[in-house]
Amino acid sequence: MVAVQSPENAIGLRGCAYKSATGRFKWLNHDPIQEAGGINLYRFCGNDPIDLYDPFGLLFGQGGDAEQNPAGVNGPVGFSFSTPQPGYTAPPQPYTGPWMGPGDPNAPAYTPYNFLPYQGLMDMMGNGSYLTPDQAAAVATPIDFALSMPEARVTCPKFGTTHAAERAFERGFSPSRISQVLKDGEITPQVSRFGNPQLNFNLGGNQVIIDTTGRNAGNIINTFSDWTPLHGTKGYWSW
Amino acid sequence: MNTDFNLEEEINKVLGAWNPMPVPEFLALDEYRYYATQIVLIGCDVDKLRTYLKQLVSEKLSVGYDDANPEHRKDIERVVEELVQLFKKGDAH
Repeated sequence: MVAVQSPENAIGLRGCAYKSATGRFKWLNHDPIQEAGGINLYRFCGNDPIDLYDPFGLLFGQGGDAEQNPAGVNGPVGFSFSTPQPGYTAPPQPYTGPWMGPGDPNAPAYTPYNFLPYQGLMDMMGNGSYLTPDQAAAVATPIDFALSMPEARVTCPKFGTTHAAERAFERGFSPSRISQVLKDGEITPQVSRFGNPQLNFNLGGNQVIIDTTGRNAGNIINTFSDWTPLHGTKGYWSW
Repeated sequence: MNTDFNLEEEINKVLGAWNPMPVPEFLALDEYRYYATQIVLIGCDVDKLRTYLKQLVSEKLSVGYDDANPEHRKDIERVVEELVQLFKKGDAH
């Protein structure tokens, strides 16, 4: 989560500040983009500040707000996280976690900012994906997950296929949610129809499937939830 | 009457029952819907259908299809045959 412990680090709050003297949130400003971000001017990031990211209060809703615009203005049902403001550079937050998952145990340390590499996803866009470059960038953009992630069990996972990227996009599996499942989920080995070994990371029904062999070893090949559809999309993230 | 729509649904059911990923049963009819649309566009061409299904499982889904494995090829052929029968059924309507 984007920790909000002092006004100095209260980024991502849709251009609002908060009053800390009372120890409670108190919005001092309303939404700088007015009703364009939803009719509630005091709402921030669709009431999902853990997964959504909007440092200057100007972006959220471009891809479709799950509550205000469930069909999505520019994207499929359920797309609900936005991209960083152009020009915003996240501070370096290197992180190295103990290896407990598939792939090379000597893989290089990763940072939040090479999670789901943008370039790798963009390479796949030439492979018939319907995602636009902006949508691909949104699904691939790291979102401060390391701040709430004391350790990782896989090293630098990324989408192994266009299918995986599209399903994550449709089903609201943002990078921070995926990393949460990979960190805390129960791991169950499974195989594909053709006997390909996979690892199923399951956290409360939200599942991330990691390939374990071949060119996609260690990569995400699917995401879905077992729960009753939310936002009109089967398999949508359930929390 | 939109016969293409019905054909697409029938193809989607075949793909869902095949379920190469796999995904839970309740999700199978959503997981492969996009590919059903593509198969309708390909049409009743055995070679193209075979090539597309192999590409689907080896590249798009990455589920470990091995073209050197006769069991894997047999599985693809079975699905191709089902699809061909659906196209013929669609033509008859």
